[in-house]
Amino acid sequence: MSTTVLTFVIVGLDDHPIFEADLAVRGESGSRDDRAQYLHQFVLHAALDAVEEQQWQGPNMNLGVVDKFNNLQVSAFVTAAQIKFLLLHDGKNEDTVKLFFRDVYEVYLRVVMNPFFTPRSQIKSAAFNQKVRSLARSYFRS
Amino acid sequence: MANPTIPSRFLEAGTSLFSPAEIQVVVVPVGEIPPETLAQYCRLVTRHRQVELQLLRSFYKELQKSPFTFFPWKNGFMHFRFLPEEAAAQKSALTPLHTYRKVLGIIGICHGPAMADIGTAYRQFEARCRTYSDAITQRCFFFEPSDAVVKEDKSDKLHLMMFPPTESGGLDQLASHAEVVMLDFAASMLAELERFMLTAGPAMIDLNTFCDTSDKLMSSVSVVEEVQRRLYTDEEMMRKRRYCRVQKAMGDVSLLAGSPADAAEHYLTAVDLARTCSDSAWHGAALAGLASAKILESCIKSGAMRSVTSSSGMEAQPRHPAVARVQAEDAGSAGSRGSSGFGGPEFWASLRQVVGLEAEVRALLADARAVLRRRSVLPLMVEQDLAWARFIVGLRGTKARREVSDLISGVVELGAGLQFTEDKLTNIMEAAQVMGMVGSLRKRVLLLWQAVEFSRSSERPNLATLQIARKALEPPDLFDEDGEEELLPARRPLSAGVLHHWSVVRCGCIEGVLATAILAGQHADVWDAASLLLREHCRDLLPSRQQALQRTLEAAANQMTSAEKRRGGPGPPPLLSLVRPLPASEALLPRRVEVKASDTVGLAEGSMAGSLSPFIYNAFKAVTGKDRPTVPAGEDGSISWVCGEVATVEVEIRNPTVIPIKVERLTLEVEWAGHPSMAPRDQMASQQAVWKPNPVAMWLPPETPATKVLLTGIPLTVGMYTVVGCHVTALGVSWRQPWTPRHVFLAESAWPKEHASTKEPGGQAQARVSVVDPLPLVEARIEVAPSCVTRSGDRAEAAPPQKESTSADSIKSKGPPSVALTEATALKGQVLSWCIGIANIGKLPVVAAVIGDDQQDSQPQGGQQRTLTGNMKSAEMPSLSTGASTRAHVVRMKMAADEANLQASVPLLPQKARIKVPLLLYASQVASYTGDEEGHVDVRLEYAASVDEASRDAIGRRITLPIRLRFLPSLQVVSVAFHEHDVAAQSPKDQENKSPSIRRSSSLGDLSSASKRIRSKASAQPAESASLREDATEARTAAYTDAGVSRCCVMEVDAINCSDVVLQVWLGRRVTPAPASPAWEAVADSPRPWAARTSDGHAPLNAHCKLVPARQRVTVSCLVDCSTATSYGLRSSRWPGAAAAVDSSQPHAVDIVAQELCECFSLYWRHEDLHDAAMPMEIGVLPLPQDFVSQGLDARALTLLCPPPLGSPLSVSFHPCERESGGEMAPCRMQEILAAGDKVSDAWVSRGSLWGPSVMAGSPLHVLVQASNSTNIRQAFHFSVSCHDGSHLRGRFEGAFDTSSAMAAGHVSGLQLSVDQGGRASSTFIVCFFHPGVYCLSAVDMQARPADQAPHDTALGNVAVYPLYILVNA
Repeated sequence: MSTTVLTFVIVGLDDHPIFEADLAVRGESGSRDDRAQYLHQFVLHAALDAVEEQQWQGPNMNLGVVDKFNNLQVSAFVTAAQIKFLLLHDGKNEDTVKLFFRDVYEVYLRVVMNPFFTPRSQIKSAAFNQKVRSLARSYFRS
Repeated sequence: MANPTIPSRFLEAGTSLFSPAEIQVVVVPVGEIPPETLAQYCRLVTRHRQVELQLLRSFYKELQKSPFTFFPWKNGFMHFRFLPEEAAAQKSALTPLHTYRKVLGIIGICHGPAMADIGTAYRQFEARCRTYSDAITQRCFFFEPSDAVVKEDKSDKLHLMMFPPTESGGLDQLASHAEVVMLDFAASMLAELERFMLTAGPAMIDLNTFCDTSDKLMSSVSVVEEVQRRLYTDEEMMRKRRYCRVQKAMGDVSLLAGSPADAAEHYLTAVDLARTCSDSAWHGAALAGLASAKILESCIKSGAMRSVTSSSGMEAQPRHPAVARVQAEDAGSAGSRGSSGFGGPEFWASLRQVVGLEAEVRALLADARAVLRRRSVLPLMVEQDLAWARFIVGLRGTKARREVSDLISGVVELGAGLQFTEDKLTNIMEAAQVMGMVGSLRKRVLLLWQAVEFSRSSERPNLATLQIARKALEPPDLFDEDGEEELLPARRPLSAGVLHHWSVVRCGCIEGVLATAILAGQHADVWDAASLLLREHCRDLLPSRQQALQRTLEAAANQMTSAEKRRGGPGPPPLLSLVRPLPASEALLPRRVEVKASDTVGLAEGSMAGSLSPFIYNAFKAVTGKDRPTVPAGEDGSISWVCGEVATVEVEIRNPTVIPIKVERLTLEVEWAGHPSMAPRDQMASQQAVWKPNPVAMWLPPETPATKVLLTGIPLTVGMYTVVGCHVTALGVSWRQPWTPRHVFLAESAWPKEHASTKEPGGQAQARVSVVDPLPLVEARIEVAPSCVTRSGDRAEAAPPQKESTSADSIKSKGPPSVALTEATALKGQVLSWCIGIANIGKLPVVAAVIGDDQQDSQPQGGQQRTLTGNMKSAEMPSLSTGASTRAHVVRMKMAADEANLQASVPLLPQKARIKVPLLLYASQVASYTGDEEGHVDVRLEYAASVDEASRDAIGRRITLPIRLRFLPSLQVVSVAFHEHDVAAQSPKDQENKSPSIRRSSSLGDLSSASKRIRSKASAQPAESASLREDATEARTAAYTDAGVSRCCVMEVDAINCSDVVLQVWLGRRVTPAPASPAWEAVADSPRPWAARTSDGHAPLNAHCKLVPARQRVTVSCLVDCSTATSYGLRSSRWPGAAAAVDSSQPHAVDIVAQELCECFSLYWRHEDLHDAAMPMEIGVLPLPQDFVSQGLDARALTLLCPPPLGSPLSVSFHPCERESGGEMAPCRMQEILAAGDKVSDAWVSRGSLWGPSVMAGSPLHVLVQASNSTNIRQAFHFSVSCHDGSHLRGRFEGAFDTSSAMAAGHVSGLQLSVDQGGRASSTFIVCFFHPGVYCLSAVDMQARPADQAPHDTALGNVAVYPLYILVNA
């Protein structure tokens, strides 16, 4: 299986990434080099500008692909509380991404229901991480 | 400066739609010029980026006919763009295409003192000019010429312009001179441009320029063009092309000359020609030029340029970042103010007013783009897109964000196809800058990061890459670099940047800087980047990476030059956080002191006077206690330090890394904010030595948690200080480490808590400290006089007070407060006569000093507070206070110092002998509680070196000397009783001649022999006491003095000596102990009980003073002087009548009188060791327990002490002659009356009057009827007097005493007396009793009414009537 790009980030208020997961299926080569890691982060970070531009354009939480950089695409999903889900990928099906976001949102809501959760606290729940990864596996396996 | 023959770039940074109107001028420094001076000269030049054509006119010599038809002399402008040599040297490949890309002017700058002679300088300048072949106007500015230079012949130096020396007129003169010179420069430039216009022709056009020959500008000829070319002959095509290019060049020059209307015409012609000859690049360029011309024309018409020039004055000021930010936010359009000076909110606002401009320009540029796309002239397309993006950013601000984003995305994609590496990079950089201007900061960061990566991969010079990398961390340049900045690129420190939040992104940017800096060999940048990573991203770094960074730091430190080793900005860990600046120790703390001599006495008295308040908390007192703020000068509650004394700051230090840190030197760094009273110039002058830090060295193990450290220094100047951070030296590098923001310091989270400002450096707010003038330093200690009680007994150990002197060393070190804890033992109520020794150990004289006791309650305990507020009932009951079973009852002591002595001793010069000020210490303990008590008082000495005469306020210091005393029981009051007592009055003259104490003593002397009987003891007869109050109306006694007798009240106190020594006990007027006070000395010297009789044979005057052995009971008495009854009597308003006074509905009257009695009288004791004369006398004073007093006060005593407003006593007048003849008229003993009246029962005696005159049967008796009126209106009295047998007193009176009877003869009936307010009236009649016995005279049918009322209106019984009993002997 070839190495793909699939990074999921939840960005809280003031551009604080509160959850980060590299969902790509790795080959045997192991981890990526630093440069690619940084590139992905930079692209995701830059996509926030595009999200800001587009989030008030329509009523949908799912914004679709908001930004592109070379062959990388960033899909975004904005919750009512301005929490942004960003998925960096290399051209996944938009509908699949939409479904993925919807399911992650379900799981995220459970995290939010924790009375100790604030829009600035990091999501450290292992269960959440597990769930997101399993969702990614189910949606983006093929 | 070699001019590269082959251009390596098409694009230029900062190109906008206004660039075609800017004449490029290179500024060339000639010779060695100091950077500051060069910057100053450059500013003079760059100030003139816009030159108004109107001003130019007087310099313009119209040598030829102007080629411009529409030259806007009235409102036009010429624009200059000043370039540094480096930028100008890189020749643009587009110079054949765009005339404005040529360097048309040269300005040389010579600095006189740096040049050997003017000839050399000018030759150097000319050599430089040859580099710029296109230049048409040159000037060489010569600053600061010497006299020799001025005198020299300069006729051969055409372009030399001399500036006057700075000494003659200063910078202002230089500026005005520069203005003239620059106008001249612009005028000659205009003349040159006109000459070009006049001479321009197709012949001068080269059709084989770099733009034509290079394949890098555009793609090969398309099919359509090929067809077109075939339609014309080559010759015709060439000719048309030449004409087209000439028109384009003329358009460019017209635009540069400031005439856009002319330019538009030429451009239109060029467009038409280009269309036919399919010269794509020139076609597109002409269209873009046309767009620029249209814009500039609009600028002139709308007056937009005026706003630019009007704000150019402001431009000259250094721009504050905050101002820049505000301008940027203002419509978001401050964006593209280029080096040209086009831009600014007003400029864009004016342009927005022009209708249809944007659409027209958009259409023109779309045409241009279409033309360029045909031959894919990528550089021009990219350039136009960027210029257009800049234009709409300026026009619409951040609202254009969406469009600009799309545009820039397209530009970046297009840019990939550019041929020159330099162009690619410029393209990305420009794209990033436009994104920054439009507010897309995150995209800007991505683009810059991409630029860094690209720059590194394309092996560009590392230094240039480093500049790009640094940019990614900096906020976007809302303004392009100013001309002057461009000329002199300032090196800014690696800033913390704008990316606070996404730490990985920030890490990436810093790593980029670090990597490029290592490659570029910029060790200082390596240090800064590695420091930043370790300082703020330690959490994100692996231990191995941290160690690598540490090695990098070490390597960089080794490589840095010594100048670089002094870093300005923050460095690597340790992280520092300010906890607080510590105030000086209590004794050294500067505070506002009121050095009023009488003040402290007033305060001490005030606590007594305030005891009337029924409230435990006295708001006024609380304010009084607080009105001495500990901080004198800090307006925002900051603390104060003293100039020249050690100041301490508490700092937290932390090492978050896995590497041990060895700090070679750590000092505190402060900023001096000046002093309000000091002129700014003085502040600048004294900037040098304001702080002398005390360095420390430390070693921090890996991952040291936050540890508190005390850092010290000495402020050397008065004023406000801000503790800004620390100066750290490690690895041989020193840097200023500001306070780390708290959230970073604690590493709690990657970002601050909600609402916490990320820009706020940690603890800045509390770091302000005010430093006050040097203060004197005084050492004080309590010196126990020989009279101190040192008693040895089973319970009281000898405890000589410990003296702890305060040495200067201990004060200067951070030791405990310099006060002496003094403990001693004393008997309750003892007044201790001690001393306070004061010595000045500082360097300044003490001008003012006061001694007081600390009124602020340091030990808030129930009983103690109540004592303060006067509620003695609870104070004397230790069970009420918490923990009384385990702890001794605590009382608050009072102190009185000899202020006069102290005031006489100041000013106290340094190194002078110690002075001693007497102190009296005492506690107002109530003499009823038998347990041990603890007393404490804080003796406070406040002193200052100077006093503000107006307010008597000063900044000084306070020494507090706490004194703890253990009080052993002395006297315990068992009961208090009051007796009615009549004494033979002195004649008024005698009374006046005697002092009050003597008068009292003499009265008491009589009292001792007089018969008296304890009427009621509340403790013994509570039931009777209650019944007494019920029929109190009958208990009417007189209390007044007439010529014969005085009816007084005697207070008798029963007490037990609980101490182990023999005490002399007496009851006396209360005197507040005060040193050197005559009243107190009189008390202390009051006569002993064993004193001999006075020489005139009278009874000992001090018979009331009694010796009481240990554990013995004693009764002491005192005459409550009724003549001064008003002092403890009640006002008439509180005294509705005799009956009401003792009514149970008004119980407070008893309490009030008791309280006043307690305040007037005290129980005194004295102890003297007669065998040991060396042992000093001890004296004590104990207030009376109030509840015992009020229990003892019955109705009768109350009436005696507080005579009702209306009263009519009867009394016997001792006629002088009668007294002399028989002496029978002397007051008789009560026992005799009782014995005579055998039928008088005890019960009656307890109720009736106990005194009466004894007369012989048959002798006439003068009886005085006196009516007293204490009300405030005139009263009329009407009454009769009756008499009946005193032995039958239980019966009713039998009527008016109007007829003679067997017993007595006399007639008093219907007496009428009118008494003024506050006055008395009396009437005398004579009675004669014939039979021995006891008779009772009494007023009957007594009435009193206001004098102006009818008699029938007044009710009976509103007057207190006192019966008079008379014993008639046979």
